Amino acid sequence: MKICAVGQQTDAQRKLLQLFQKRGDEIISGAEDLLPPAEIYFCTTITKPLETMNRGLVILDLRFKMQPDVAAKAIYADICLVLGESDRQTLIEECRCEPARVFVAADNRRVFEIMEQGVRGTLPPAAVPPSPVEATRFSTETLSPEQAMAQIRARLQSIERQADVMLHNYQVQSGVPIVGKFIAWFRRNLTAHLREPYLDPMFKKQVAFNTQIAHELQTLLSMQADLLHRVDKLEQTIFSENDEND
Amino acid sequence: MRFLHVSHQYPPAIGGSEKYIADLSEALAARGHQVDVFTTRATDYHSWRSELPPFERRNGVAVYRFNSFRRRNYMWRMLHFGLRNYWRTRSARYEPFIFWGGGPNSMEMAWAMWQRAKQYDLIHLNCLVYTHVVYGYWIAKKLGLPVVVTPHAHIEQEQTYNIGFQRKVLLGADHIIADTTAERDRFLEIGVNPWQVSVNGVGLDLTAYRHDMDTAAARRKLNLPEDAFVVLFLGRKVRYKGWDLALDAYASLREQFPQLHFLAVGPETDESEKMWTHYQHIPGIHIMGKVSESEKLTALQACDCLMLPSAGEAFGIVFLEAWLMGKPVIGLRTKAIASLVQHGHDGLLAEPGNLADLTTALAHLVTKPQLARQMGQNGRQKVLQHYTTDRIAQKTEAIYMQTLRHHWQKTHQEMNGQR
Repeated sequence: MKICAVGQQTDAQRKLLQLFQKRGDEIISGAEDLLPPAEIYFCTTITKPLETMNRGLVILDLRFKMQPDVAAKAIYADICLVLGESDRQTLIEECRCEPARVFVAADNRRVFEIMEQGVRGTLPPAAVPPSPVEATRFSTETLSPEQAMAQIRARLQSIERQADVMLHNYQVQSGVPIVGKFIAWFRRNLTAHLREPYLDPMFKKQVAFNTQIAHELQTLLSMQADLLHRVDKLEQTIFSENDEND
Repeated sequence: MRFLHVSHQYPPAIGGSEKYIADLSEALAARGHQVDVFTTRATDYHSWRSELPPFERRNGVAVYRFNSFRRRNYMWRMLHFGLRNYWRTRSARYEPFIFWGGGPNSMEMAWAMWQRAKQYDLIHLNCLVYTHVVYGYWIAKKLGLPVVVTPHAHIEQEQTYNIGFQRKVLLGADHIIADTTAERDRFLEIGVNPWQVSVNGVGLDLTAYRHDMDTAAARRKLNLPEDAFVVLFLGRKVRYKGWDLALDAYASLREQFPQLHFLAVGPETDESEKMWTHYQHIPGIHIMGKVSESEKLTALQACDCLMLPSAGEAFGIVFLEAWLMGKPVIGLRTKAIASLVQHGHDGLLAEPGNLADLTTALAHLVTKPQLARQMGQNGRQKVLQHYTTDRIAQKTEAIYMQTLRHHWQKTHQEMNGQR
């Protein structure tokens, strides 16, 4: 296997490359502007030729130094190596690296494994966290009483708008040419015995019930607003009397 | 490098996926690559009518356009028949109906790909819901070329990505570019290899959004009161975009907040034209049909918030546009939108089907205009940091290179295996 080392290496990285050398792999160094053909490009920075490299496996080792300008180009690497989970998060969230390609590797043994499996195409991807799903909650805690009331009133008004669930303008139609009108007439009459005596009255009752509930809720809200107003007034009176007594 | 982009339509045709591929092609050409586009001559996916010129060079990109079969009524019926029975039975026998009914069916484009695709290093297929992706994929595989697909899948609408032939493309492509993390999660669920999926999204070309007009001037131009709180709906007025929901939320609040105004911008449909009559009695509604880019910017500048309660968005580029103009957004908590909009930080999300939630979201912004402005600014920062065309093009370029290396590695290993 031919491994091309790109950029300045630390002692730990040199030791890792020596491990491969001892095993009989060929280690070569790549210049900034020209890279020889290799199966693995083990780099500490992403140079211009690496950005357009269309062969081999590009491994970016950011374990010992994660400079922002190098991290910004980490998207060009096939595999990124970092020391800890926080660096991994930075690469994923800020530098838009794919989570499957960013590996936490605490020691050279793990890096050795990653390189070995990576070049064979048997490396399992790093964990991909699912995107979070939360339910919407409109909290009224941060709102003033007036704002909270306005929001609740808005909710009730929208509920009232939905109270009428009947489709008043719906008409059975048919797009079939010539006989369409007859088909529509036939379908209307076919379902009329069910709709007129049974479904329509039932839905009308439901609409009336919905509307009444919405009105009752509006009344309760008005009462609550009135109560809040009174509590507010009472509080002010108590505070002013306390002040006078003091 | 030489890349071939294959798309169902290309600007001047309107649409999010059309804009995506055009911006991407131009940005990659500006980065020094040769980018050619194969597309149809259509501007309307309802009919696939061929009306644009066969060749055009747009900002450094060679656009080749091909004739396709007109989508007539019988094709729509075939599509509906196929879809209805496919979901019921999951049987492959209904797939040809969906394939043919969906289109664009362009023999010319398929033949041109077969003859000329070999000269490119990589093929990028755009928008999986249309069938050009299927024959494009098949040809690329036959020619041994690496294929990247951007599906723009609407996660809640399975017919956009989970029909048998679409699934084969997803599982067989060398790389898939998802618009959102939620879309990526869905692809992983259906068995796509995590190495072969990236999330990139859609970017905005900032130069196209330079707008000298301030809010007051924009409002004067659109005859909107200066002291109003303007809610904007921007999009085609079809039901799944939720224009009627937005209008209902507005109507619920208008009495309580008389300063509210509703501006609806986007192409009308038969249904929307009929529906306006029901809302005639509500004051403060302003309607604009299909508008130019500059009119769209004026509308975005004039509004206080964008409301797009759409149930079927792959990404929602219009949210980015509103953010870039510093406006907060209100959307539905569908998977795709929830992974784009951060509730309470750059916009508000309402539960799908819950009008009360949507109304509360709007009331929240109306009662807290300072918060609304802050959310708009947060959104703008987000766009500048993550969603510019330059950044999207840079990541796409990186994905192309990863795909080429992966393809090289696979061929290399196969050759070694044969030896």
